[in-house]
Amino acid sequence: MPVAPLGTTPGLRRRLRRQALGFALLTGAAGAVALPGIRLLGEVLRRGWPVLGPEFLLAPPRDFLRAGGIGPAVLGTLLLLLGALGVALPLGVGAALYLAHYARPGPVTAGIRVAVGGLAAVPPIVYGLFGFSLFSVAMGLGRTAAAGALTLGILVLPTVITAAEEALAGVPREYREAALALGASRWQAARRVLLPLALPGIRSGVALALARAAGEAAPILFMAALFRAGPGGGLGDRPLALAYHLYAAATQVPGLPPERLYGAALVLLALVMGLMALALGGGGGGWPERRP
Amino acid sequence: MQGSARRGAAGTHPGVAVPRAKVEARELSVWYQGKPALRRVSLAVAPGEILALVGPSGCGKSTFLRALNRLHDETPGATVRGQVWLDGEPIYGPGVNLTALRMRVGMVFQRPTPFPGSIFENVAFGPRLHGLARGRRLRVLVERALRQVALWEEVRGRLHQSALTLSGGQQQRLCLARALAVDPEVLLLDEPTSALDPAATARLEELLRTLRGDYTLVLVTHNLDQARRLADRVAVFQGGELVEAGPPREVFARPRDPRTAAYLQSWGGPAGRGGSPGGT
Ligand SMILES: Nc1ncnc2c1ncn2[C@@H]1O[C@H](COP(=O)(O)OP(=O)(O)O)[C@@H](O)[C@H]1O
Ligand SMILES: [Mg+2]
Repeated sequence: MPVAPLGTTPGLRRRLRRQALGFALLTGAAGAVALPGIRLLGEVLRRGWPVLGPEFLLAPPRDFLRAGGIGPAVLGTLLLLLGALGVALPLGVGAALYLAHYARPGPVTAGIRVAVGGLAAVPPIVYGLFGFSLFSVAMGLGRTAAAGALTLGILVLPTVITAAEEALAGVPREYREAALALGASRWQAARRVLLPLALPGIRSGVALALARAAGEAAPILFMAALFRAGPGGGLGDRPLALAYHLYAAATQVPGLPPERLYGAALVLLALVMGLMALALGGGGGGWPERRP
Repeated sequence: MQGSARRGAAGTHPGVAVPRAKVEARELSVWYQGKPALRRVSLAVAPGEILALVGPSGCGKSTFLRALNRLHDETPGATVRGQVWLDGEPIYGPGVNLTALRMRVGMVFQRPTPFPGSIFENVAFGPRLHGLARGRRLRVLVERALRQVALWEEVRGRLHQSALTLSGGQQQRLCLARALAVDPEVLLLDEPTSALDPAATARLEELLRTLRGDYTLVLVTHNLDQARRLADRVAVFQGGELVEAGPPREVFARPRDPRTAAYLQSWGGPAGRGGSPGGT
């Protein structure tokens, strides 16, 4: 093989120039994508930050939201998310396990996959209508946080199933077979080996799905309330939630100082971005990198 | 699943050369999605011997191996025909308990498969699963398995660290210990050294040699030198068929089948005496 000269040649210079141009274009594109997001964040921070404080974060609202805090809506959001998690995690992981390791490939599983994909494309307001008619009316749960959590759980289910199935499929098949070859049943192999190995992927999928659910007002439109007169805040009460709070307060409370809306938006953003960070950064697991 | 009514005795089939087999496959065929991968293979493994399966990539070695512990049952689209006898008992058929079968026939894979959890938990996996031992007796059992694979001295101080802290060679020995901990009679090894460096390979080979006699070993390898070093008998596969089987000296020096000769040639030099392993 001829030895390449160490100095630059015209051909190499041309390639380097082309590479520099490519980098510049990519950087520009990335910047164009990031800019609106940064502007938006900056605006929300600038206008929302001043109202933040212990009272705003924790206290209940007064004077039709014009004073006091958003404490109940923050707690309500967390309650709804926890409930949705309780619904979506076992159902979603169970379905993913079934699809990845029990179901025989064929028209039925293909159909289930298409259905799951289709569900992910259904607009949130349709989930709102569906959840209200199924959980609130048909099942008699009424306008409660329980009905809201179930609706949000169904909303995030496709995302959880898809993420969990991918995470499970990413575990090399020898791991499952190694467990089976030791005499483990399929369920034992799944619970003791597959799920722990797939956990990082499942966790980020779930966090991403919850981040989405936290920001949606539409699915709980027919159940949520803007404020609560008395005490309450359990699964059997009408749910308060930040996303709904933003939507309803902006449209239904005349004379509301906009800073208070920005404050609530900032809290919601922080919550969503916290979940995103958990989804993206919280990995750390995966399998064994193999060392020689 | 169909099976010959005759029991473990031997004779008319090529590769069946032992009077009382530990494992005996008769007319074993396997299809994946209807495509044949193994065609009517009859082959017996004598108690305590090391049988090496060799042949070009894709010739059905793993497929044969995985039929011996019924791992194909877990692969959608795989169909098995024929019969395998373990100590004269058919393993395909109604009333065969897969857990009981797989406790008697252990397996080690090509790449190490350390489970999530500690070194101790890895070895204790099988015994715990099957309720074989607890507490002090479990610790004794784990130590014995780790000693068997010459890993005990290396890990005794860090049994509760993650198995991922071990090197690849140590992980593979850990997987062997994990299989040994359920006290199997037969061990299936699917290219267990192909992901290891030469030093780790030598250690594992040494280990397999110490297991000979106490266990019946079926070893898939693409390394003919390894087969020559370890095996009591080799079985040559090609295109899903068993070409011939016999002691390595005979098969490698005087192949009876032209397909064996061609394979040996391709692997490196006359009768596969090329020395270094061929491609992986
Ligand atoms: N799960 C599977 N699905 C479909 N085909 C397979 C599967 N496993 C193996 N095969 C095919 O069966 C043949 C034999 O494979 P295998 O037994 O793994 O060969 P070897 O171990 O000798 O390299 C190959 O042609 C391979 O492509
Ligand atoms: Mg193979």
